[in-house]
Amino acid sequence: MSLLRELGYTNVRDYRGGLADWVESGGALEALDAAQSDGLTPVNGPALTVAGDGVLGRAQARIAHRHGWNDSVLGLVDSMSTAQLFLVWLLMILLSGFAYWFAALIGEHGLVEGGAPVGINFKGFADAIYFSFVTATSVGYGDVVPVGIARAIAVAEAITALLIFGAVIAKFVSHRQDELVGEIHRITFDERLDRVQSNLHVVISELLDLTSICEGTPLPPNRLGARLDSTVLLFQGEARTTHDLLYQPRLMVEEGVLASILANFSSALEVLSELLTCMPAEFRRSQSFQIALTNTVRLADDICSNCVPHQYTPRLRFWMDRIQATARRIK
Amino acid sequence: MPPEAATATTTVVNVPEISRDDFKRGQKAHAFKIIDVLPAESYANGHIPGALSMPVPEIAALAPRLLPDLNEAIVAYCGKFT
Repeated sequence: MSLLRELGYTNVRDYRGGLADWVESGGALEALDAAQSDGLTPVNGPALTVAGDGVLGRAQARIAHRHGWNDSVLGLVDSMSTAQLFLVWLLMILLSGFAYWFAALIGEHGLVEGGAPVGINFKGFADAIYFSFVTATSVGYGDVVPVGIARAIAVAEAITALLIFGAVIAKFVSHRQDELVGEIHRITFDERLDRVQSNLHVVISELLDLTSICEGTPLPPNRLGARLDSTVLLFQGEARTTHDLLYQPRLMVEEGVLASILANFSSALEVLSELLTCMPAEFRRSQSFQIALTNTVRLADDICSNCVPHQYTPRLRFWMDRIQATARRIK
Repeated sequence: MPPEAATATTTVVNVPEISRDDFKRGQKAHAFKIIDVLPAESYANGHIPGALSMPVPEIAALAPRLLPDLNEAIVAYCGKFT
């Protein structure tokens, strides 16, 4: 630790408990899986796309019901809040109450209580609203019963009320689920960010290790080729992630994290560019290496302070410009 | 106590410690760079998420490239009780 101090770092601290304490206190560890270190994994990694509002489930449901008459109904239910739906439910009950009351005006078509028709007065109105609630909640005491047209209204009301109430409940539950899905996305995103940093670091170490050939230490061409292939493949994946991060920042990344990713990216690119200048003459680039290198350079060439669609701080702009400048030196 | 031992102790004391809780909070918030000074095999087997591998013998060579900013907040760790 003191070695870092001697190298001139001013802000060094020591986590004394170390790995043992971290594990003891329940901290998770991250390992480099074998497939990744030999470069066989799909280098794209999990895409950094996170639904900002966490409505993945709903979006999928919408895709499943793209066609059909119920699309508009579902769309309407989707667009309303839980409280609005509940209000619609109440309004429907009140309107039905009015309907029973008016049905009594046409003679033998209203409500009957204890064998006598309900009158067209205030008590009759209160009875109608009461009956409406009993029907809508599917309780059905039976103390007030409908006759004639009122029966048809009661059946329609019972069905509609049940459907709306079901929607209210479903919405209530799915809201919590949406929140949970959003939270899971955020955690995955954080882990992915950590991984970008680890992977870029692996790329740098590996490339630095290979630069020994620049100092005249020969490496067998096939071994050199294999290591270079896997490293550049890994680099390509992280270059894409970094590119996505800058071009589609759906979740805000803290400046410090982004700066560290960009700085590592820039270092890796510089080492790569240096390494490519001193490849032995008999070295032949493999096809996969050439593709990965072209992709990486193309992605890096897209990273500059004036071409990314967002305004970043000077520190980040510095690294971005440096990445592009380095990319343009690579052939 | 021979004078060399005395200086060695002073250098180690110069590096301030960070508590477990502070470390956990900072790790989550990406408040500093984490350096794993254990050997590379140990890093590959498991490291604190986000940590960079910088085995002690390679610190001098790796540090300038991986940590270009001398004022960057850094926390280093190894196996246990350094």
